[in-house]
Amino acid sequence: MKELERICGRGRVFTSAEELSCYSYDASLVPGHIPLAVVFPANAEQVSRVLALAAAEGVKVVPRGAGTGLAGGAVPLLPSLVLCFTEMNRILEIDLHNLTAVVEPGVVTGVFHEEVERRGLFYPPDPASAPSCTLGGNVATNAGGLRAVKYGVTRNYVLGIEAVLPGGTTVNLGGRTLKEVAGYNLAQLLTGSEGTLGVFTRLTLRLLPLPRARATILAGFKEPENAAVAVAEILGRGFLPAMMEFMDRSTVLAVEAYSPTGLPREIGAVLLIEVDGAPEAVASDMEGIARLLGGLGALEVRQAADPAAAEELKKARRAVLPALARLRPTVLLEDTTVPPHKLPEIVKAVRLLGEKYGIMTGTMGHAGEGNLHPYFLCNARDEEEMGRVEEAVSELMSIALELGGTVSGEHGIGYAKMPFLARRQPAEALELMKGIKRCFDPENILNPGKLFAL
Amino acid sequence: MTLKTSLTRENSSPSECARCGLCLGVCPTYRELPREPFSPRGRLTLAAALLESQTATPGLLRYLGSCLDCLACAAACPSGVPTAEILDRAREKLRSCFPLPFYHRFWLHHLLPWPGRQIWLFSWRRPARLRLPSVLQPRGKRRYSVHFFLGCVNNVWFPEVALASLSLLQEVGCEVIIPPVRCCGKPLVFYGELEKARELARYNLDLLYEAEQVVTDCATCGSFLKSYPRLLESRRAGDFALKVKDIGVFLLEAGLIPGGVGERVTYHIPCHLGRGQGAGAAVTELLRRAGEFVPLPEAEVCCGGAGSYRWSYPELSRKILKRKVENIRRTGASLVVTSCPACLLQLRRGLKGTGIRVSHLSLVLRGRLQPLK
Repeated sequence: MKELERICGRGRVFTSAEELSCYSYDASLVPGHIPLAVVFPANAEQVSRVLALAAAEGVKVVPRGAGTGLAGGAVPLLPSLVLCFTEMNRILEIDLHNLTAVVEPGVVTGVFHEEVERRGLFYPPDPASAPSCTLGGNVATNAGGLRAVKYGVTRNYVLGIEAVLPGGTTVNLGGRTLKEVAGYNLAQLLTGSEGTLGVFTRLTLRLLPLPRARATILAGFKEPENAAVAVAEILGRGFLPAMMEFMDRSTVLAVEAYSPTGLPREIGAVLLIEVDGAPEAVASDMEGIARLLGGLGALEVRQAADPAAAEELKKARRAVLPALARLRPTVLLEDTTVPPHKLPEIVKAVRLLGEKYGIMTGTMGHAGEGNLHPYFLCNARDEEEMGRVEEAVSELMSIALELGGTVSGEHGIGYAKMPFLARRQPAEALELMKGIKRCFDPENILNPGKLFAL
Repeated sequence: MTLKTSLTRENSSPSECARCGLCLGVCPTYRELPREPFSPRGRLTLAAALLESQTATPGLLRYLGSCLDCLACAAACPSGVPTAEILDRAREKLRSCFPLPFYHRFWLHHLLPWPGRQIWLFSWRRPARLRLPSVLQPRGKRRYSVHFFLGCVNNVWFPEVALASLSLLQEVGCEVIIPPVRCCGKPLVFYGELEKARELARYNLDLLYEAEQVVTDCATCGSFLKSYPRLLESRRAGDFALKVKDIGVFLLEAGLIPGGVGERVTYHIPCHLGRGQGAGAAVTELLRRAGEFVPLPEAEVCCGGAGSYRWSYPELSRKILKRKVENIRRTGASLVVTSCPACLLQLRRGLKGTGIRVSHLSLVLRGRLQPLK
């Protein structure tokens, strides 16, 4: 403890019971151990010395950003030192010519969005927690967001990482150029490693020019099948919207009960579509997509070209979480991803699971890439109910895998989804992963107990 | 370990906080000090521990006490957690463990609840109460009868504001009754003295219950009067709360045609007007009609004034104020208007040396743009 204070300064270490109690959780339901201490390093040098100290003392370390992860990745499972990066939050460089940015890991994603957009640039990954989450956390979990169908995920924007390895060695991985083949891509290896291979002290990210125009369409359908066909048709006809969000009937009913947007009652599926790009292209796409939707039998199509009207349409999407939270105390949001054309199957499967296990369920999510968020409305304090939820989730995972999908599209494995990793990855792949972990972290110092048991 | 066994009592939070962390993105104190105990999610964790275990520590006092009560977290919370109520209960618990320092006790117990003493102590400011009859007549036809709640700070420190508010009410046809109210009670709740606040609330409720409408020109008083139902848990208070209006809202609804302001103005929405009373858009609209208006970026974000916060947490108050001042400068306005005396004081000290003036809505609408003394 004294050593930590010597390295970082007394004001940068939390040791009191009340302070530590605030670092045993993240945004998941995973309960954690109270940490031994929490340290807020100010720079890479302090990070390096802290990790060296931890290695020397055999103390486990759990890296943390804002603690908004949904899989328990930032939750200490053993008595550990929490290494919190929120005070390393400077944007060091935004390079308009080379379309890159260099940031410290604690920069809040939403703040970063504002800063680059102010300069006419664009950082597409936009997880729903953007107002609070950090870029470091995003890279650690390969965060997704609503724009992935067109723009990809965090991984597509990671160019370089200055990382500190367990033991304290600082190393520069990757670079600043968009294209490079110079040995194995270690920066990409660390992306999505969920704090188990190394921690980040500096990130070099790719930027795009900010699209000049945006427009939004809200479409209502009778059945999820119609929405799935619409998604396929839109993409098949050459449109590439920035966003295609889906809501099933349960979700629509919940939203209308909470904050009515006047959607007709027959609607069993909603697609919220956003196109972006040059103004002429956006106008033309809007018109084309609207016509296409009409031709496919959409029950309702609303368009909005100006920002204020678009905000109105997006209200429905933003109201989903509060609407669901009003119904039951705990909203367990899953993250199963399937090939987009399997959307109707997964929606139906979720509904049947709800009936089978007696749980309120529904589905919403990113239809464009098949990354859907089935949800289970329950009460975390009701042990019996949570037992049923657990079984339902497990069955859901099997169904997603059978449909050719995966167990987690963007939330990560962390601790909560560990039982499902072995179902998703073949044994050989898991062995390779464990080998990599042992290579980076032979003493298993960093975020132990996450992803897989060694 | 299964999902089922991974859920334990230790993980549950008061009022079903799901720990989603969205509040971290809007909390002004977390923005400056990005550490969990300075966030609403962290404070709820601490409050739960405090209320369950009954042990208070100086650390708890510091973290829970550093909440601005700006209500941004409650507005952003998808689960509808009533953070303000929970923290009020925590403040009460802290008060029972940590007695107030002498200087706080003096003004909270011996000054604030006693209008007579305030007026005596601040007589050199020529308090509004001394310059007013108990009833004012409308200018022209009598269209409304309203009771005016004369808040402490405007009474003794910014009497010109109160006089301007009353003049405006007369202008739109109000007969204005000015009953001898006592402090609304907000500062007492902020320092954990719920019972004393209730005494004041009952007193004020008795005085104002028969009113048709109750108008006030302090956003904090207005918001707190509207929260009397929660404080007193009475139906009478519920009926009363519906009659309370901020003066900006009242004037807008009464159809006041604001005069030309003649310079570029912007409007800082006090927390207790915007989120506290849901009146931010309405009052902004009223000012927008008055002159060359430019919207303030992050208008609804707290200024860091928070009553006596600048003395309790000077560093945080200063940092939060700095951001507000940067936003104000960005508008190019020469005058920033607001509706709360605490915001007025805070903005005035932040804008010192910039040449940008601060004024209360009532003074601006009344056409009197002299700087506050």
